[in-house]
Amino acid sequence: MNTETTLRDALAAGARTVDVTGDPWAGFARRERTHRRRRRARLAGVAAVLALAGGVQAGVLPLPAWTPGIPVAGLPGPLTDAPTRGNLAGDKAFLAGMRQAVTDVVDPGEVWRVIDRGAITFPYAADVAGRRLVLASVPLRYGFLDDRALVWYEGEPGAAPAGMRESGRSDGGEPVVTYHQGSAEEPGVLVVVAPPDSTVAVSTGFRYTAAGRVEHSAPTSYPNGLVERATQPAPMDPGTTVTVRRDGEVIYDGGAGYGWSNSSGAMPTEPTEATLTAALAGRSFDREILRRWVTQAFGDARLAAAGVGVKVRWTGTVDGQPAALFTLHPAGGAVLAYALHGTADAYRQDLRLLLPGAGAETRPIAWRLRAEGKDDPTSRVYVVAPPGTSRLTLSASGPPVELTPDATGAAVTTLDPDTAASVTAYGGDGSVLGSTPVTQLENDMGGIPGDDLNTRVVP
Amino acid sequence: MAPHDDFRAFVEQHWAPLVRTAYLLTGDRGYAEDLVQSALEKTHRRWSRVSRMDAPVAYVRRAMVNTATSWRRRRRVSEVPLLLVDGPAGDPYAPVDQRQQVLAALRTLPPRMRAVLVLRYFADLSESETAAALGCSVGSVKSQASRGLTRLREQIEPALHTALQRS
Repeated sequence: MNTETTLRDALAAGARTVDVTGDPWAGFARRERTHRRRRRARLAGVAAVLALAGGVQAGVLPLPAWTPGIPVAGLPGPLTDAPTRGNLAGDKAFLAGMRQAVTDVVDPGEVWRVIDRGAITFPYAADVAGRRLVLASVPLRYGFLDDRALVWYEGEPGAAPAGMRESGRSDGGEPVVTYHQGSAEEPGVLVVVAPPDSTVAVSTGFRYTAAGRVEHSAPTSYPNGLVERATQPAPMDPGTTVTVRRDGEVIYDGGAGYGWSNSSGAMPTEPTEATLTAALAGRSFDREILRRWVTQAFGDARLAAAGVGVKVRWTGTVDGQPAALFTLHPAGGAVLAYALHGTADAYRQDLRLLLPGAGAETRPIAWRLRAEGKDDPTSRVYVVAPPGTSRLTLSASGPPVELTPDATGAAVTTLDPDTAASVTAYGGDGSVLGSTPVTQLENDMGGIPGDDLNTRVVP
Repeated sequence: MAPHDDFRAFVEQHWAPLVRTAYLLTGDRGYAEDLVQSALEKTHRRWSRVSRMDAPVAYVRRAMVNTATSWRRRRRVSEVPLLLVDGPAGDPYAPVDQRQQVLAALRTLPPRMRAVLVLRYFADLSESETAAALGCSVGSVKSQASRGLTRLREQIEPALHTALQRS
């Protein structure tokens, strides 16, 4: 028995000692009521106003900052106590003004009050690349619940605190925060605020290689956990990735986010009518739905539609709703496959998969489905065979399972959500046309497709 | 369906695995329930947004793991779990002792390293799912898992060796 097996065994046994029988919802609701009662009882002796505790939790009545709160996620992180960086770090008057200008955070149905303005910290404040930016770490309270948020404020260069407006926020525990704004016509800016003792590497731009991988541009390294960089006008998200290392460990590796605007109203990700007509190649499918879905796919792939071929591989239905599998063929030779189902306005992206260019046309493509309207994985798998397929199989742990495509060209089969598998298409002479792994469901579709093993087929 | 009936269904489905995961993260049953309760309360307040995510449970898990590591920093003692289940034939206590050794060794690891091992080897999350839960890179998950297993091995093997000598 190796260490991994021993650990699995011990963890499973340890977990089984926890009694979780009973009605979870009743338990959750009961604990919530008890929780609130206990807090109310504790506070009742010091604040008569708590007789209206319902109003407190609803955010109607403010609690004094010294009352104990219940911390939720978003507790102080490494940026909370970091020194202020940026060229406004020494502008005490401005920062004092910002401390008063920070506003309550309004979420749908709830207002998180700033509980102690003296506890607001500013990890970053600067006039940079044609704008004034401030990152504030703000202690918040909603009723009895405490939280902390990292909030970006932006304004014109030299703006007074009253002229700063909120432009984004994240949990206060995040160790790395980015601000990335660009435009088709104007220079943009990228700011990365990370712990001062970290190193940041920024790569802007990438390409899909014919071999079916994502090749990022060479990164630029920045010391002291801070990046302030003006960016060139760009027609769309250039695909910027940020990697932050601290004490030899990667503490952040992902996108920089991107806010993009243009003044012409043009959408570089929207395909032309000619592209859609060519993509359908005579198939019958709702063009508006296809336009929306292909536009979504181009945006997801960070590709402009111009010059990129689109081909619809399959159309049919999933759970009674229109569904399609189509591929994008960007310059360079790679192929991106997308499967979606739904309508033009409400759809689910079921698959995004980067394929090597060679042989992409003859690969079968499979994707797993979540429960309709939920995130629960299901055992359902759709498999679309390439043209000329006479035999289609799915191979998991046991012998290959023979699949029979329906009239639309897709086979629907079942597979345990966690089981690795592949699908293989055979031609009439028994030769293999192509074989493709059945990738796992993605939990986060925010990154560039092909940037991890779950969205590409080559190692 | 009432506005939050789907949240109730969500709680009913995920409560048990979340509590078990939280217990392994914290080593304390009371804290485990508080942890899940806190994460679910936060989720409930933001359910209209969270429910539209591809994987709402990943949101809860991330909130839970982040809070767990913070709570651990503030705690001074932890509950030592007792394993009273499924002792196999032969020496019925040896495997239980071994599991206790493993869990005890696990609790000596830094919180995030421990979380990586729990999420990978108990919750059966993939490396990318674990990275998402911890807000770190896949590379970090790999290195933390590797170092965590090495440290467990270093602690378990001498203890087992001693136990065998005693028997």
